[in-house]
Amino acid sequence: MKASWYAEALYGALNEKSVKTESDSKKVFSHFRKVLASRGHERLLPFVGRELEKILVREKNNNEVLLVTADGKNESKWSHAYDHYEREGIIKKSATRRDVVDETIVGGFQIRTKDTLIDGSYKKSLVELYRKITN
Amino acid sequence: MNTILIEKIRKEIEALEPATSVERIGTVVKAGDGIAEIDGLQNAMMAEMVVFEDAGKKHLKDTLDAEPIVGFVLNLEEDFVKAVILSGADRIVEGMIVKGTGKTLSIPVSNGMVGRVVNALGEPIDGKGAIKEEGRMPIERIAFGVIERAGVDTPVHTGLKAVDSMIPIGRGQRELIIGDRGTGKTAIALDTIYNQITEPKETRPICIYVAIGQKESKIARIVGDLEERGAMAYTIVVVAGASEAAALQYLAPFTGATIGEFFMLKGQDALVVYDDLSKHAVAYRQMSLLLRRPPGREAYPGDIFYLHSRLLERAAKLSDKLGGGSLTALPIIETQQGDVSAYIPTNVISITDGQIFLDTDLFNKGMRPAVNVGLSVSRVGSAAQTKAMKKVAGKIRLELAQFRELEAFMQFASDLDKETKERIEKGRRLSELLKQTNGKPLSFEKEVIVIYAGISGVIDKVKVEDMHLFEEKLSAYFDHHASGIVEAIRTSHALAEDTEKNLKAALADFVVTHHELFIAHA
Repeated sequence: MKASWYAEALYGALNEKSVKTESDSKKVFSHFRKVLASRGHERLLPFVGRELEKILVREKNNNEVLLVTADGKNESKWSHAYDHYEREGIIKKSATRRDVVDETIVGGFQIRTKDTLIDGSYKKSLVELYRKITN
Repeated sequence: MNTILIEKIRKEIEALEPATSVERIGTVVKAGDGIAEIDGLQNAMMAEMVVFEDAGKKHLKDTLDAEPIVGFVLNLEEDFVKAVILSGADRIVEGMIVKGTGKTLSIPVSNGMVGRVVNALGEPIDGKGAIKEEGRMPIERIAFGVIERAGVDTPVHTGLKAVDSMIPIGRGQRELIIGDRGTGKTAIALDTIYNQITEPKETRPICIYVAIGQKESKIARIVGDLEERGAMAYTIVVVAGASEAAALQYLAPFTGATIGEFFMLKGQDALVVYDDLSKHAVAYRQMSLLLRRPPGREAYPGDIFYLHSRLLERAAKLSDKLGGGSLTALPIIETQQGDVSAYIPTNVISITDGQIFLDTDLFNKGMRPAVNVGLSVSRVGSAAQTKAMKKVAGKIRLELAQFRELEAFMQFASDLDKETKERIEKGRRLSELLKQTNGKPLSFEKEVIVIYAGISGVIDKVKVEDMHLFEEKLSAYFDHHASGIVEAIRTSHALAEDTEKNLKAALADFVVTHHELFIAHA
């Protein structure tokens, strides 16, 4: 059996609604060790730990939303846009916002989640205009 | 630069209101061998076109200069989406952003494609400039159903006596050309294309030649020949050469079918040659293995039959309600050592409406085209054969079948009775009569006349080695002395009683005029 499967199962168990306190987490972990022992897969434990770390990084990235602006001064201006899309439900309420400055977008903003790109940058508009003119 | 144009652009920039768009994206997590594994890209569709973009900080100028990297989704998995990269695979890096377009893969189609050489994405590659786009059509579509179709009733004349008389092809039919390498498969397909020049312009089919996994030098030679003979005026060449990515080789026949359908839907006739589907199957196997799809027989994926059946099912003769257009398919399959029972040949044989089997032994004996009449068949073409051809072709098949049976006894010629000897001699002459030089298709009316001369006994006293000369002189005689008969057959497509009477008289006159040819003893 793959260590990643155990890691996914453990991550799922640790994120159950019933797991609220640290003692609950410890309880889940001791149950997990028992399951591992009963299946004779104790040797997989270090690998499960590594896989669990990967899952935590992945989930952190999935939960992170980038607000990209061309200029640090305008961050507050585009925060309204962020709030708007959060209210619309396009951005998860539980998401962690990270502000990034990228002058190559020329102006405007970009909001990037794992599977959605809200592009209000001037760069995009200029590229579209260029394609319109040249085609 | 034009100042008016500059002013116009300046105004547009000033009035530019950056619009916000919400796009589905994913991230490249793995890439290699023309396949990209993508994380994210929710609600991706099968065969959806995707665009790869650099996630890093890239200046506006670099973005404008860069050629877009496109691909299409082929595997939808639980955690990932796998896409095949169509262009710029070497520029794909981990972490790249992939945007879903929400559109399935489509190609531009237009009348302007006629006479051009395009790639598997429908883009011109002949250096003759851009092709004006009239619309876009998806490369994958469900074939027309029973109600939308009509019966095959019009012939596609290949210009080859052996094919048109015994294995006739109808417009809307799928006829497989199968044989070992170097037996003349491509030659038959090309002769068919060349021969369409004899058709009246209004009913002449648009020919599409799809080269899959072939050497670029061979493709260049074919295009050169088509141009030289004036056949490019009604031909489109779709190229996915041996150096192209497997994904493009996989797409090329579908592109050919889509272009053919464009003309079919306009009520025109189209003829598409897939040269060849063996290489297409190999390209698809490569892609499937890289996509980690489970391999089956000969390591081909499980859906290899469906791949070819859905492609060839698109060949159709549409009902009058839909314009009455047609798409005829001539797929080519290369066999190994004449083994027609291999996986891909049996698949395509069962899908098509018949096959022209080219035999290596016949080829080595000097029979051109090396059609094995016994193994070749056309399941629907006879319904499309013209009355004239039907009248003369019925007898030749029977005569040749009897000859093949007796052929084995030829080495005991001295012990055979007179009747058997005569049959063998006639068979030899008829076989000789069906020989044709590569690249010299014959018009339908000439075919009728030559075959009529063959079955009516005129050739009985011609030496076997003089048969080629006989045919040449017969053709010239009818051009100069009996063009009325040729014209009558051409216009009526039939051999009416009076035409036949005139034909007989002309043949008798020909025998007198060219008595030097008739000296052999039967």
